[in-house]
Amino acid sequence: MRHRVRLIAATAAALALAATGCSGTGGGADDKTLTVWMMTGGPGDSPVIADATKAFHREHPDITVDIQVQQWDNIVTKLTTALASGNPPDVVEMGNTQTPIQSYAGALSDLSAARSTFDDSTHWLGGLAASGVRDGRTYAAPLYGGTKVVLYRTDMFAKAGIGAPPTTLDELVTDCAKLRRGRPGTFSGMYLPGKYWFAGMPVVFGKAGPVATRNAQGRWSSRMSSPDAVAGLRTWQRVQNACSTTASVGADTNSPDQDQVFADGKAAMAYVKAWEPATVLEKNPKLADKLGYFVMPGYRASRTLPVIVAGSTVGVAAASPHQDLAKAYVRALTSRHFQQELATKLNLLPVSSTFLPADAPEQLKVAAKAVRVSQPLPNAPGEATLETERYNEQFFAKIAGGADPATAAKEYDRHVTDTLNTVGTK
Amino acid sequence: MAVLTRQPERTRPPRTRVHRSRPRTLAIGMVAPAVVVLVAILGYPLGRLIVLALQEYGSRAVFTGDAPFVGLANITGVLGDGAFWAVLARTVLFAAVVVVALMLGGLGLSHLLSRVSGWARLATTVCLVLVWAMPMVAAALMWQWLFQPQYGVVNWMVSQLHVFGDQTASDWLAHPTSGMVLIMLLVVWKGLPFVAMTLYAAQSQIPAELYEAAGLDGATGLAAFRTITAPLLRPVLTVVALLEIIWSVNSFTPIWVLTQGGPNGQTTTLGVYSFLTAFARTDYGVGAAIALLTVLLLAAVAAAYVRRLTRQGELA
Repeated sequence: MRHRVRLIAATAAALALAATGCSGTGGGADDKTLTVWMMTGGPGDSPVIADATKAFHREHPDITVDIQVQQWDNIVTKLTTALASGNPPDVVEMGNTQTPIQSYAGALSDLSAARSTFDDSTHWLGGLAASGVRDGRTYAAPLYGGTKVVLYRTDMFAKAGIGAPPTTLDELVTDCAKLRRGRPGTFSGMYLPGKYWFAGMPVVFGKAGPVATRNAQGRWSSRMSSPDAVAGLRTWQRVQNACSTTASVGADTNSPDQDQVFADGKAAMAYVKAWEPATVLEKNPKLADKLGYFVMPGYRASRTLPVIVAGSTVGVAAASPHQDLAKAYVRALTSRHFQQELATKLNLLPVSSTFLPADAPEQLKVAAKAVRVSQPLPNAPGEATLETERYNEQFFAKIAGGADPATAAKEYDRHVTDTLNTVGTK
Repeated sequence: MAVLTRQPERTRPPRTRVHRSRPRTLAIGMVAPAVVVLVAILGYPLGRLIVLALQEYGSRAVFTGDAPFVGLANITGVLGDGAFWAVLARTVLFAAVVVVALMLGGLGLSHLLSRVSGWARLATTVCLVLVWAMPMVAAALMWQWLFQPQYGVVNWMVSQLHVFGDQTASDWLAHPTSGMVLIMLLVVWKGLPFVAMTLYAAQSQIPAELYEAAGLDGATGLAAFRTITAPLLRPVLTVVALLEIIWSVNSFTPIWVLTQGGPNGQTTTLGVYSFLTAFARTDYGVGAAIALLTVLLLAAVAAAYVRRLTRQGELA
């Protein structure tokens, strides 16, 4: 019995450690260290971050920069706990949908005065920069855009007799059928895991525009059950079922890893972030000259499907004792030079369209084209709650799994309206 | 030193008082460290929980510290919410199924252990201890892989039976019922070793003469179990059942790793509900209220149990 108790205590302690982010100590208590929390998959995870640190060191040579890479899982909880502690990280990277909850709580410093000193901050990507703004004040700067494009196998298209990428969703469904003909059931024309709500939501946006809107009194209402949105959900069901495997209905993009699925030749298309093709090539270098990119087609050939503006932002902890140093580091991260490094080395979309270098990789140019038609997610603290609950993920998987869109959408509206209006009101 | 100087005055009354009170001081002194530790690690968090449950404590309060007291509003709010009752009913069902399965499985295993030969007992014990020693997170991840669509071994095996059709694409965790069943299976599998070993230990204390005597009277098998094993094991059974009720109601890790309480909150039990309310909805006050209600509920169950035990004179 005692052993079990001890095991439980150990597990609880481990959980508590994980939850409070004690795995890496927070900020530097001394004046010589600047602690920077960056997310996995972004610049902090790559040698390129040394460039930002080098630029920062030109002004502050005697400060040590301690980069600590964090995992996305449960990051909102971890960030809140870390930022509220007496010894927070000085600079933090956040997902754009996770930014409003932090600025609402008062976890982030006001960067409004410093904003004009950041390179070309007047041209920041609208949807991405908006997540860092609250009541007209800037609390976070955009770090990079994570817009998605379609990655496809040119050789498979040629073999199936498809001359050009599809220009409408109907064409996409037809092409999927052509690509899957004569292949096993484990092959996807386009690999679309059911939980991939970043792929499902645009299909709804393309038909119905914004799903959650806010009235003059600041009250949110979710309209997933409007006829247009339900029609959009039906289209998602049809596209997902026609293009992707049955096994993918309940899957997300990580498990199994969609880049692995594509690299294994189990799909002719995938909806990917601009840095994913590099991962695919790492897993299967033979595909080097067989990859092409296009913008996800919409309902009509004249208008591509709106992309969800996504990406990361970066802010300064309100409780950090190194406000000026932290702002200087944010300045380095958002500088034209570093942003161009991110574009060419990591295929991340720069935060200002004027930063895109002429020699940017093709998928990034396609991504820059894709953001011309875009739709932001609700800029509300409750959006982060929906993410922690994995609500959208489960909803789109449910639709892909054959649930009746009209019925499911009513339940969705009840939950989302309630969440957007209650979280961040006290 | 003080004792030495007092020694010559041995016959005077005050000294007797000193003598009489010394054992009590000693007892208090010896118990005190444990009490201090208990108060620190159990009392303080519980006190904080109670205070938090009475406050309006949102994400902003974390940074401003400005959290007004709202009396019982959080608790009445939770009690007036239909979602809470649905979660409570699910938790009770979950705990009932898990505890019954654990007790029956544990009894069966302990019975098996007391009957088999030495090496078989050793092998079984080693297996049990290995299951026991595995961290819950690792076990839950293993479970996830076993039942993964397309790549899961169980999906493949079920399909190979050619009875249920092609199940390779089945996503068990995406459906509330099958998801809940998988979580229960995991909790029972992980919990069995403790129950089995404890019951086996208790069972091995029952004198063999009792069974011999009963055998002479013609009571074997089920009759011997009913008249000898069950009554003698009852105190242990009751305590183990009580612990398992508490553990299964508070079960968090397997649910969080496997389903995060989804789909649609349909595998959410009290522990997960409290966590989600506090940390996903950043409503720490209401999250604390849910946790406090859980504590009260478990305390009530435990109190009822212990009272029954003491009345039967089995624990005293």
